Amino acid sequence: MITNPMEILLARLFVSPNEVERFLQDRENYAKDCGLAAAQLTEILQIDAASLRFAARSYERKRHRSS
Amino acid sequence: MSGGDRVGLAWRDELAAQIFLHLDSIDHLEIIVEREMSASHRRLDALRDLACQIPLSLHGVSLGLASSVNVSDARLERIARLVERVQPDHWSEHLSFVRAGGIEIGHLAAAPYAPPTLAGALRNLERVREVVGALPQLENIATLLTPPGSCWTESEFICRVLRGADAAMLLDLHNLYANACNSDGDLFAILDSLPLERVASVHLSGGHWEDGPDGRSRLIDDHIHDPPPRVYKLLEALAFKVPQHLTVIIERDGRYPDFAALLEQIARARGALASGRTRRRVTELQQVA
Repeated sequence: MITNPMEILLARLFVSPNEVERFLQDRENYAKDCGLAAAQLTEILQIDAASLRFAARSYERKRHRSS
Repeated sequence: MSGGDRVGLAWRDELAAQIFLHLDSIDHLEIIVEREMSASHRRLDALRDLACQIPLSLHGVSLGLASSVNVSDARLERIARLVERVQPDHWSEHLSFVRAGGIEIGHLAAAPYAPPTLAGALRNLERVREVVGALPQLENIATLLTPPGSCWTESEFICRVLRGADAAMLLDLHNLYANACNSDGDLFAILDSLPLERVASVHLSGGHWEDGPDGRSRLIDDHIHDPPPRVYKLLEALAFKVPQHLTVIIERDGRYPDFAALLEQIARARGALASGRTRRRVTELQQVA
């Protein structure tokens, strides 16, 4: 079993709004660092920044609420 | 109440006393698996006794079934022990991913609706069946982002998993509502696109609207607000569309209202079910006539 690199990328982004900002500054290299293949980069470039920021902040608040 | 349908509550310790006082008005209770993993023998015995009095289900939140990451055998063995001990009516889990690359997200998230996630989910469910002995009912989640790398819609993904594993569905109507609102989707068309013949249980909950950095409002599923009217409309539509009995559970995780308000929500859910069932019977009679 090999973990889908897209899941690794999403997990990194969903645990920290700071990671989201790092990602948005240089999506391509961030994605490569997570192990994504060149063919998957198109998907990464299409992620809506506002939705991603919103999701990461929402996850952070929910984690704080349940901790 | 509609024959065979059940309406109940998610168990929370904060509500325990009122639940016991009103057991006659509650048809079903749902217990969070992770909160009972370290429970004492005495508490587990109490849950077992409770399961003898009222149908009870166990609900997991941390397996991460819809993922290319293998589900942990240690977690499954603990669930198997809990199921064996409590003897619930059924158990359930989310179609979500919660960890990858050694990172625990601490929340339910959606992995790409794509073949690697489907293959992982089916492999995980096979392992679940081997270790626990029974598949969980599988719940749709709320997501604020369509997972990149998806080649199917959420509904298509859910259909493929449920049919591939031959599993039943726990349909969370507020998650469905929130995802439809946040993606500008057609709520009732999305309901129709799900494998409704597999829905065995339903979650009702609430959420709140929040403005994003782009000035756009999004609906957050938070379980600390009352189910909105559209969720009851969805329940009524579901009761109209499917013949099977449904177990409906109202989820509330905080900002608890007076218990009378929760009982009112149970009554409202029963009303929605009854209304849908009546419309269904009328339609069936018209077709026969």
